[in-house]
Amino acid sequence: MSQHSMGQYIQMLSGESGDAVSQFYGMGGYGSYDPNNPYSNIRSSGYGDNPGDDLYADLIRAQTRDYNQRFAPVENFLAGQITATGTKSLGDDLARTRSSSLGAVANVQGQQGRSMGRMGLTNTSNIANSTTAVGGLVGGLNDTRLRDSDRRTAILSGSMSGISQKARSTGQ
Amino acid sequence: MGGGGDGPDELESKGALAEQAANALRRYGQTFVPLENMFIQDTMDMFDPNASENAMAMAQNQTSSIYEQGLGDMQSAQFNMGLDPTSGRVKKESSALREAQARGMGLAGAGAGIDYTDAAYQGLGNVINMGQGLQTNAMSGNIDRLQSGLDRSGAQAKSDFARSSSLQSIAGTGAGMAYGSYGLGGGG
Repeated sequence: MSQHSMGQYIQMLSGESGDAVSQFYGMGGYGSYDPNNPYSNIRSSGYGDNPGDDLYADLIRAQTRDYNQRFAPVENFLAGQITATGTKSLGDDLARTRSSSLGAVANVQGQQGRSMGRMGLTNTSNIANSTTAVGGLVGGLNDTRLRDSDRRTAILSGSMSGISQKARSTGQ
Repeated sequence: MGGGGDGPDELESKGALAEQAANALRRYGQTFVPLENMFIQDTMDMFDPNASENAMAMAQNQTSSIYEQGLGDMQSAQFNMGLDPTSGRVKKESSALREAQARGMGLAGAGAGIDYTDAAYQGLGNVINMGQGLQTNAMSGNIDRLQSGLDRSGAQAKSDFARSSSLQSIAGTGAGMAYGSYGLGGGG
């Protein structure tokens, strides 16, 4: 079958079937997926003896393709975030906790210096080395690890997403 | 009964129902898919390491202001008591509260960052729910998360201020009313 007649044959098929056949033969360009409106290619006419069945079949194919294009990658991303002990966000969370604690210490050290300066005094305290500040930093880092571990449990058990349970029950 | 070579014709109602479903999907595609895509993009953007900066800074500022009021009251109390600003007692008390302020601000900011990450994962869960055609859970926004963080900061500040002897000495006086007015000195 020549390329020309193949194109004509595809034109006779319904939108979704035509797209699948076109993709299979690497022709492309026919009914390509539009992520901003994945259902724009659905047509109402041009079906054969069973137009209702054919249209239904097209709708199901369009929904499946939309799911695979827009939502399956998000599911894969979420599944990919899970590690043996928590999630891949732990590193960034720890960095933010560290930066927040150290930044707060520097901020308050400056406030204390200005406050004492207004009374003509020199600030000799070193908040960064205080037990309170160091304890806060260590406690914050430990809390961050615990929260990340909780997050992993929530993702796996379903209270946050139930990714595996929902993937298993896919049926639209 | 029917006879003939052709099978029975498809019910016309079946075609009408399919067309109705197609119409609903077209409308969904036109109107709601772009909105869903926007939400998906926003959710993915929340995983940017710097995305929570504003939420963290806001939590730190709000926590700082809780301590600032208490520190101001403490200084007033110290002056009213005639304490020398260079005395060991004043320095120690002031340093202790400043250290507590630093710890409170640091933990409030860190907590806001972790809450933000949790919200990003919650958003992913909602996207997955959308894909499965399930009802989406309600999500708490930045303000809700900030408020719960501030509730924790307020409780911690209350405990920190309770250790300040100067503040304890003004509880029940006129200045003590100010101490109580921001909810740190009162019960419950």
